[in-house]
Amino acid sequence: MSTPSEKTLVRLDLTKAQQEQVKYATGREGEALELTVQELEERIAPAVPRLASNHNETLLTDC
Amino acid sequence: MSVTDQPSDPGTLGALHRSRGEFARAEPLLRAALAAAEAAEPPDGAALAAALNALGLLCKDLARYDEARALYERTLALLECARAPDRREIATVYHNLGGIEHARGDYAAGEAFARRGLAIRTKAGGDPRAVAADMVALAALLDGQERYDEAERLYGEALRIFERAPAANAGEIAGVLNNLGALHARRGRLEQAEVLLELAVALKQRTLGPTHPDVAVTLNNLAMTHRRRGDFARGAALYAQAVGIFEQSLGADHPKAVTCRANAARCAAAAGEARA
Repeated sequence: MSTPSEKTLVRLDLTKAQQEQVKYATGREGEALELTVQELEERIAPAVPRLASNHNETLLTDC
Repeated sequence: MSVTDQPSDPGTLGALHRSRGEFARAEPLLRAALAAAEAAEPPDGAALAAALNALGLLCKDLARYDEARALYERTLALLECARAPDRREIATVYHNLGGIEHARGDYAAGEAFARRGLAIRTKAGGDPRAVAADMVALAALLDGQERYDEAERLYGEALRIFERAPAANAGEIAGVLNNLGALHARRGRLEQAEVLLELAVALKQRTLGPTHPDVAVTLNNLAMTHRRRGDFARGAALYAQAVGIFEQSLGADHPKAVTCRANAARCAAAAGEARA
């Protein structure tokens, strides 16, 4: 049986970029996510370092 | 991000400074992160790969291409030796290896790496934004080989993916607009080039800040577009702005600063000839 604190709702207000990510992934619009503490603990992504990629930007040479 | 909520671990903080174009501040932090990852007990392959790759990115920014390549090769070896290799991470390293050749101007060599990265990521089911980033990297290498139609098609495809979430992908969109604008300029479509480059500059200034070296890249390209249209005064002003940013952030001897100064000198010479 879960403790009361595990059922406490946590509201996470989303930035515009995060709202777009949610809409892109689910098709739904929303300004915030609401999760119980228990759901939040289950959903926290592991801190696995991801590799970043570089940008090949064109620098024009006047010749 | 404010000073109070800055990350405390050197790798994250170093990556943050690098993303802001603060390379001198990033370097000691990224080197410290790598030293810590190399000394970790028990060894953590994923953390070491991330530290090697992050320092490789910085070395590429600073035009230390041999060191960057050696770091990426160590990253690749580490990833490929893992018990369950993450193909998407391997794809990213090929993407980055292609980036070094792009910066060096060896576009054909870079194309081979970029194609390999894109193929691996597509097969591994990479997320569409990462696939789009691979497409842009490949397009830039094709663009360098004057394969403009193929490059333009890939830029367009990537832009459509990024524009599904324009706020989240603002940085990527600005990069594509810069490259597409430069491609139009190379093909003599100066009006189209100017529109895209103006958009890219505004977007970069908003997302990166006015003194980031990536802003200077687009200012340089915009300056050349104005110069070719005969607006030497506007061209000279934009070149001066770009040279100032490059010299301040990368140093006067960095290849981008050298190229931009040479462009500015040609602009001044052309203005003199036009007056004569």
